Amino acid sequence: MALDEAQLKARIEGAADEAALEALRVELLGRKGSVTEQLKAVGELPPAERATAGSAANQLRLAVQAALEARGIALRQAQFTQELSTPLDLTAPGTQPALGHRHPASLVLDELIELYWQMGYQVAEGPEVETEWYNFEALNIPADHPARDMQDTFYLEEAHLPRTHTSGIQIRHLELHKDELPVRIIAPGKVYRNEDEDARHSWTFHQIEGLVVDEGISLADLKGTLEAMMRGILGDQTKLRLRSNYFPYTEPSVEMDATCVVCGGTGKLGEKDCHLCGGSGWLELGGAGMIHPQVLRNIGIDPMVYSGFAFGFGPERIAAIKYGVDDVREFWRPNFAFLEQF
Amino acid sequence: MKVSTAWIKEWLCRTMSDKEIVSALEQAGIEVEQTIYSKPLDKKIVVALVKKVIQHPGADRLKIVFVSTGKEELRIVCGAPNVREGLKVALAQVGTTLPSGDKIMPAKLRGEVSEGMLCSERELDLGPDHDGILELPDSAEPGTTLCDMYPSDAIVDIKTQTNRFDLLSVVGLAREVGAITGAGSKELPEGLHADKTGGPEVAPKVGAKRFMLVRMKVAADAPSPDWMVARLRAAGVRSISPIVDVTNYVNLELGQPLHAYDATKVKLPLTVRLAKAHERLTTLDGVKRKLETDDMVVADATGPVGLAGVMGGVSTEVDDTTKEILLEAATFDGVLVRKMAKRHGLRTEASARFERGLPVQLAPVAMARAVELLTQVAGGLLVAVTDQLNVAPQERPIELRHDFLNRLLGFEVTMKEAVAALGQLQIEAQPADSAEIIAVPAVPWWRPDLKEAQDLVEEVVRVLGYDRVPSRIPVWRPRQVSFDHMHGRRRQLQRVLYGAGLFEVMTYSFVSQDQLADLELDARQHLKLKNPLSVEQAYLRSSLLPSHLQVLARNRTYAKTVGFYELSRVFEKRGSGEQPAEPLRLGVMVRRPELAYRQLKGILDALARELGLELKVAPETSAEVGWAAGRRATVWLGKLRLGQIGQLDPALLRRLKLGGEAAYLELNVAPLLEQARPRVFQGLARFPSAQRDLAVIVPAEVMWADVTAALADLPQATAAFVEDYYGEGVPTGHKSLTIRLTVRHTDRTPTDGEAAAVEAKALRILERKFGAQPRAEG
Repeated sequence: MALDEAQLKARIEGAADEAALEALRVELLGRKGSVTEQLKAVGELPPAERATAGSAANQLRLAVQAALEARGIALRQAQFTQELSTPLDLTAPGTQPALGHRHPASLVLDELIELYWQMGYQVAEGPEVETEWYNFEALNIPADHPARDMQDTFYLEEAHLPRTHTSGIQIRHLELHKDELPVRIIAPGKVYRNEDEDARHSWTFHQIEGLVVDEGISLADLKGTLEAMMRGILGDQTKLRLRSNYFPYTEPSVEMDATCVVCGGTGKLGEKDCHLCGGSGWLELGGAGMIHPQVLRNIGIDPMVYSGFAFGFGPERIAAIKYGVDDVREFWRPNFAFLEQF
Repeated sequence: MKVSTAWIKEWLCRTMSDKEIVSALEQAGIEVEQTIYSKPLDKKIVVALVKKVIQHPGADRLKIVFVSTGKEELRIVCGAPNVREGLKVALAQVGTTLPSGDKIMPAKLRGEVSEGMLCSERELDLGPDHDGILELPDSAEPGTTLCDMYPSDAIVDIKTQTNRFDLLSVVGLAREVGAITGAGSKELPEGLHADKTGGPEVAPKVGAKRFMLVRMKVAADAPSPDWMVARLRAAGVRSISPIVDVTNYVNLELGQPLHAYDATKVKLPLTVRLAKAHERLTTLDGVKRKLETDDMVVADATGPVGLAGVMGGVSTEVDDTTKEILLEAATFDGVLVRKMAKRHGLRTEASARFERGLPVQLAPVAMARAVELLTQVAGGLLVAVTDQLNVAPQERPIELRHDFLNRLLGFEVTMKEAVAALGQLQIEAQPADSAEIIAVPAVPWWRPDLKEAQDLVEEVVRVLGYDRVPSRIPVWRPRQVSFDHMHGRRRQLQRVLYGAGLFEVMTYSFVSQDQLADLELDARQHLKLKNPLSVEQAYLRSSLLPSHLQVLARNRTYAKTVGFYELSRVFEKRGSGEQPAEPLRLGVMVRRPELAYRQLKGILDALARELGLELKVAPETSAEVGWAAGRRATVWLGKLRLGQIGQLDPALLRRLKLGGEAAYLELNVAPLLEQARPRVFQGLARFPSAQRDLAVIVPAEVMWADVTAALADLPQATAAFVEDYYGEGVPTGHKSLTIRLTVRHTDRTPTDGEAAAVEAKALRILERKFGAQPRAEG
């Protein structure tokens, strides 16, 4: 029985879905499909008829194939149209991935370490419970020195003290490496002060201490390093100001201020005083100085040959500035409602 | 220290604005914590001459006053008792805003028009007097604005460096301002010399490097002058009497504490000695003090009359009837004074100065100034002077090599500049040794902080200004480079915890005894603070758990499902005198309505995988406070005990008013980081695997760790946990365990038969080892 192309096409067009279409394909073009059979039958015809019949059967096969393909495309298209018919609000909030929340001070610490790595500094650490020697005496703060009042100290009942600063790490590191100078380190860590808390002070916080010792290290080196650091932390437009200060373990000693990140150093926001710097245009960020010759002598380094600088500042302070946190006690409370913003 | 800028100005060689003074102080390195600018008086307040005074027709106490400002005549209603013709007064004209903020309007008082107001001292904020109107000097020119006659001075509140006694004085501050601005400051007065004979008898034995005592007759018939009272008030010192005011004034001005005794109440000689046991002293603040044998006292023949360098005693106090005084200017030992002040909780203006270590040269200068002022304001008459110098001052030369200066600064400062800079600070220096050395033959006595060359470098750069310092990055030529891998691994660890959706927290290292007691931790095994801020923070924690329970409790209402972690050191007490061990710990807490442990264990597994480590979790059967019974395990890394993991005791959670479950993990981090290994790529499977899920019933106590160990040797197959199940259909004391067996060959796809053989073998092993039974389907 000859197959009617138009009829077949109509059947294909009428296939309701992809399953029906597939069934039809098998019925027509499968191994035992009717179109296939017709093609096979050509071989049994007398040679004279073969050419014509063959060509017709082949044409039918091609036509059926094309129709199946076209219907398939149409069906899939209809399916997509159906699937996309539900409206999708492209602006509605997405499903949140369940990521955690890094602590802001910890983020800043990581960022600082990253900056220093780029400047060739390595991380050193020291004990949080220190001896009086490393926390005070070696740093040129003898017992009964009034400077001990600068950092109100906790003491343990037996001996030792929770360190009041990370500067003791300077001594420990230099003791280990005095025969292989130069050194260039940063030393982050927790410190403890026996002071009442307020929005700007908590009794425990982190410090990051920097130390460079080499031949011919100068105040200009210190200034350039601090300047680079400020730009790294607070942005390229940041300017540095040094003010004279006193620390027993550095000489000269300076206080480092950076231009305020909120008012850009003008001190003003419109008519009002800037809320962050209080109108001065400067933010106090920490202390620094050239290592005191007595400190170097305490370790056994000749201050006439070697010189160095040290600096220290607080990641919480930087975090408070960077993220606009106006109460540093938040860093220690842990309050998830606060931390979830980071 | 608070000080009026007017006082500083008095010691400067040129006039200067308050702003200039403040900025010079800051450049000098003196922290100006606050500058209180008093507002200048309104320009509408002028000098007026009282022309005529008549009685107010409608009020006994009021007068009608006709005044002239030189330009116009005005009619004022005034109630002051001291208003009289010919008086020069302060007139607030209509439109004036008084310091109080009140505005002067044209007014009618009891029917009489008033075109302004005559002001009292208090109304102008020039002093406390409000009994009458301010009487201006005859020399005042009518029409002159009061703000020109009474320029407003600022009060600066400053914090000074503890190594500089001199900055706790007006003169010292003026010296800094004079140096920084180049204006220069006035020189100190000549010191007072002792009489050869006849001075009051003294016998200092300890702790006084110098002891000066002056006998003076006094006749204070009027209170201290306004200018003195005003300056003391600006410094926060109350006026008491001319004698006491002078001692306080000189202390503020020169930084030398002085003390005046009523001469009739003292039985000479005055000595300085250590207190004897059981001695007592009532100090000027009225406190009766028990003295310790290491207290340094000033004593007369009868006993202690003052805590040396801290506070005088009541028994020899000067009062209104005092006719003769003994004035003491001593150089007490700073360390002794500091200890005493601390012990007695009595930090005074005097002790604060002695603590910084006063030079002996200061006492005679201060004494001279005090005598001058007492003569001026208290009818003082010098009778006799005693001066006992126990420690002679020494000249202190310092040499600063020019090349050292430039090397330390990192820029070129000429000899001339350096010498000039030092000169501005009144440090006399000169080039020596073919101009390569800056020689300071004698450091000024008021700068005991200057000890060596580096100190002079700082002085030079302080005067030149830090803006002169160029910026440079130091060259880095390390001898060798050693790499730090620990920080990178620490970050890797943090990434896993962050990816697990945990909060990172920071908590205080100090905990309370109660927090330890809650977990039955022995307080004696913990390091304790001698001087804690509060009992809440008295012990150094040896575990993060107490703090982390508090975090849970404080965030009770935040969410029912929450997890957090902290990386922090803890403190483990060791032998006495030894520094404690400070292992870095990781604490992880997961709180959920259920399955908290499973989630936490998943985090631990992820950590192990990420760091390339095999961690063993070994259940512990013994009970431990804080942990749920039978739900605590030790975490091992090889033979190293890393810490614990488990579910927390529900009773503990309920006590903290927390519902659901909480699971906790605490590990020593250092071994994790040190032993972390990079992962090894296993090669991609080239042929598909076959998987069979095997469900068996085993006794409930059979642990997954045992099962995996038993199945470790299955040929070319691995076993993975799918689920365990307790409950319906499972006999009591048993559990149903579903294990996924994955069979994989490196050279072909396993056949169904091979997979079935593996499953059968696994079942045989489990039957033999654990008495496992295949679980019936359905």
